[in-house]
Amino acid sequence: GESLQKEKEQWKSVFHKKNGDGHMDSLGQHRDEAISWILCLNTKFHFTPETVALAVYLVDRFLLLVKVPSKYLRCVSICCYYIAAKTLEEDEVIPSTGDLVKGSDYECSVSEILRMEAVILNKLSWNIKYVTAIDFLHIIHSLLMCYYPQLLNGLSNM
Amino acid sequence: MTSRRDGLEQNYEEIAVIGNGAYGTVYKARDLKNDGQFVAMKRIRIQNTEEGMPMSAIREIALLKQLENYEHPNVVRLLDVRHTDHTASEIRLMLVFEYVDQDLSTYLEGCPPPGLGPDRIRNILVTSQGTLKVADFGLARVYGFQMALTSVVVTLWYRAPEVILQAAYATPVDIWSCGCIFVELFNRRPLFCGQSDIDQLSKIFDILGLPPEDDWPENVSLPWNSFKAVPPQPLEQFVPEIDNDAKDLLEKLICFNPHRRLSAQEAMNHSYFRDDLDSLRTSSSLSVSEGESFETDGRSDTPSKHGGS
Repeated sequence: GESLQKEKEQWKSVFHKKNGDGHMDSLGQHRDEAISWILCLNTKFHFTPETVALAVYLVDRFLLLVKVPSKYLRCVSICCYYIAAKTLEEDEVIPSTGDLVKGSDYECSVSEILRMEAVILNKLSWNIKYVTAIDFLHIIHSLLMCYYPQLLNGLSNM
Repeated sequence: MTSRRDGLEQNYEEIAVIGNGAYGTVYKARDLKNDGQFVAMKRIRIQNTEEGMPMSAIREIALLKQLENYEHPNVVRLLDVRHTDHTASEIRLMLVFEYVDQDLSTYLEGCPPPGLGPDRIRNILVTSQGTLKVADFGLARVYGFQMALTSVVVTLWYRAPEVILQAAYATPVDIWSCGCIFVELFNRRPLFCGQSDIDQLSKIFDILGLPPEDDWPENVSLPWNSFKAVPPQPLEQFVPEIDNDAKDLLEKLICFNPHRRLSAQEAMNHSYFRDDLDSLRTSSSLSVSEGESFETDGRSDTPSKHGGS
């Protein structure tokens, strides 16, 4: 959770650099909003950090490609979260679209979600498997543990 | 169904049906945007449920797209994914692949496909330059939960014993299949042609011999002693054209115990491949993309020489 938060902040700076033009501000704001909805959704569904990171990444990519009116922003977040879950989570924990909508406390229909899902998949040309920050964290973590196993002892003393 | 067209599909002109299955239909088509080059167009129909795009479709296509980034010379190119339309009852996907004109079975037979019989290796393709390309990655399996029984039999012949026994399995199952196909390159017919799960296992043991009880996986419903204890047969009896190097490789590929089976990396380092890889390296290519690795050997001139192209 904490590492995810950290990564999110680092990411944003990359994001801003890439889009250092006029609509940067609204984009950044939109993004924050979308991400906070994803985090909020995850307090309900408790998916892995990998799924959350992927969902965030999908949102980022989609917002870069498409100018999303703010009224659809939440729908985009839910869908990216849904796609990320379908990509990474175990079959049996994936909610039905109905349950997802219910869990999101958002006034939209199942068919709206499904239409948006199709739009996002198409816009991203189905490029939906990315190496996310979490993967890097795993690698860095295992490298640390390999080379500095004494850190583990320090942790258990904490 | 072919009469139905929408804007997106007009980029492609269907020429002929290549394959048909419960998952949809594969066409040979022309890509009108790219000088009319041939493509293989796979149309998939998925029942539209409340769950939207099925997880299996998302995973498979995401994987294909990810693989695309590596542009591996032995993987068939995925050129395009189209989500053509979305009705209340059906999701229709169209995957456009690079067109390769023959599968391995056709290549080995050296003749045009006489209709798609059950005994085909359909997802290993051979280009006219002799390059091997892997296609499909179980897309057919993923989409066709009620696929025709014949296709189950197809894979049965290449299925590792631990899968048939429903024990724990992992990547060694692919090495087993490679071993089976390796034999087929020599014999131009499959090695283990079982009619059922049990029959498949018996056919395997008839050649490899019943493994020692210690090698039998734990917690499987078929007990070890339900099979007749038979001794292993010399492999060259079943693969008469095999040489010593190839035989040694084969024995390690179709080793009953998955823990002792070669890994892909180990197999690549096997002396059978050494000459071929060396000659490829000197010809400034590191990959096995020439597809000649099975036939450039002076040791045996058996496999593939009958292939037409």
